[in-house]
Amino acid sequence: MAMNRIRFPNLLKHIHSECRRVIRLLPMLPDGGLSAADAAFVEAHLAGCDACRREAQAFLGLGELLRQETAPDADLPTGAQAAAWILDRGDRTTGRRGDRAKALLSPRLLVPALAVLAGVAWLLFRPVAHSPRRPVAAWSVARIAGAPTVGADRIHSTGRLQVGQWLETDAASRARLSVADIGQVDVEPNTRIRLVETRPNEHRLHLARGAMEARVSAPPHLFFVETPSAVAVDMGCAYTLQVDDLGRSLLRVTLGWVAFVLNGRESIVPAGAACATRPGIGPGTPYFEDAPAALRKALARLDFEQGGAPALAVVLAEADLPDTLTLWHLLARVPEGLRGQVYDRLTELVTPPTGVSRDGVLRLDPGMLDRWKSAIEETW
Amino acid sequence: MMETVLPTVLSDDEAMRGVAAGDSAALAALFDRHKTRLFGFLYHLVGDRDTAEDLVGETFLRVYRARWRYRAGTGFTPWLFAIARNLALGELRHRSVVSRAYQRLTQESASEEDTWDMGRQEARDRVRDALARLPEEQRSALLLKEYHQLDYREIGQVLGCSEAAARARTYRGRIALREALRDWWHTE
Repeated sequence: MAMNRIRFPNLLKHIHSECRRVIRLLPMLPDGGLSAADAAFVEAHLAGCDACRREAQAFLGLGELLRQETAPDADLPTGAQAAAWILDRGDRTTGRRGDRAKALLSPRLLVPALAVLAGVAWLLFRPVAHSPRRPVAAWSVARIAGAPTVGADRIHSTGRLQVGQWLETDAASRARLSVADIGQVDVEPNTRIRLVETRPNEHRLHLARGAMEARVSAPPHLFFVETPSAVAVDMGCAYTLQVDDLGRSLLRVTLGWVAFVLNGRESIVPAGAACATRPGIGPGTPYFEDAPAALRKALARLDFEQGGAPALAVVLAEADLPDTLTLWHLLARVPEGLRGQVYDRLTELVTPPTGVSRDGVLRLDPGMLDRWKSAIEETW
Repeated sequence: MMETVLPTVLSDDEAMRGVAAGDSAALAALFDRHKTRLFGFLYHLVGDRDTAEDLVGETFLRVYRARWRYRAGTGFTPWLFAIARNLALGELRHRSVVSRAYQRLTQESASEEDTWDMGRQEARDRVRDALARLPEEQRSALLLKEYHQLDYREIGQVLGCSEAAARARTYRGRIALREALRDWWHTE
């Protein structure tokens, strides 16, 4: 039941270009977040345009309308009652650090603890020959449903996935991988996935087919998932990744950011956006999932079917403010002869910052592209 | 846990220091201070009064268990709302109540018709209906901005995204809400 369209689908088709620009700025009015130039432009326009003025009043009144929709009265405990309830449950499982420290110093626990410490010391410092093999790195696997397998072994409850091993699920199976101590990966049915590497500065999976959902809380560039047509590089996020039997993949980001890369071609995909890949081509252009269907279809033709100028024309015509994500990526992807059209549409949506020129962008000056990206990221 | 009489109104950071030091009165004060607005936020996320009430208690239980991890100066309200939102999302996932939430909201508002002025009731129903249909991130961003008056940095903390992304989600939420209400809500 979620509302996917967030644009002005009906309104924008029938209005003048000046109104189009104003309408896109109006949702920022309640914050007073317009630049001086935009504010002056909007003010001048509203003075002579009744339709836009009514629209501006609507946005300015939206917050008040929302605040009238109050929640029902709640039957909540008093603070004292809640504190008693919380302390009863909180201390049962966690305890205070000070209490724990006191408990550990009690004679009842101190003697066994010292014995354990002595054992650990012996294990650490005993004079033994060096082990010829380092321990095999592995992640824990937990069965969620059905009968997932690691190699030839069925996972009944929990198990281990060692570097180099494959985890497979059939149509009725699901499993959860613990990604070292930085997150989890849920492996969906009909999936084949291998642990390629796990070490402090890199954790890497290979998803050959099927689907997975990753939730990672770690610094960027620590968790990687290879697919047959691109590599997903985690930048602190949650996302799903699907790979079909032809090696085509689809990345959908639900939290944070993911970079989808192959052979120097990179797509930056924020929450709410998706990106498809094709073997031999790599990652396509990212798009927000609530973008118009016509834009998404045209983008697929542009990325993977040599759609050229006709496909680009549809993308540009359908693009709204959030689609600057797509347009910014297209700048470096379309043929040089079409780049100017992308630039012109982008400038209609977001004014380039000082120091960013048309000539510079058309010759893909990295500094200018970065500066402009910083400005338009606010709309992603 | 000790309990002290709070002589003055503690800031949230001071109260959290008290909670970490074992002061149950500080915990009670925090609960009393935030429970109503927290309930409002949770109610609009899960669409169910009983669940929202349960989640208020659960949120503060998590606050208590995480009391050592709270860092003063980083903003208690966004931290609290982030915990609450994570719990609400977990609840929605586990019970698959996303669609049921919408139904409940509709039923609940219908059952209240006798007690409300019809015009105002219609406004409430329509806004509630439109809100319930928004994608969760837009709904949360809008509620935190318009209802709870958080700034974009704080909204970003709650949603786990950048300040710019929080601004963009609010922007999209406003457009979505405006579009959803367009046929009904006209300004002169």
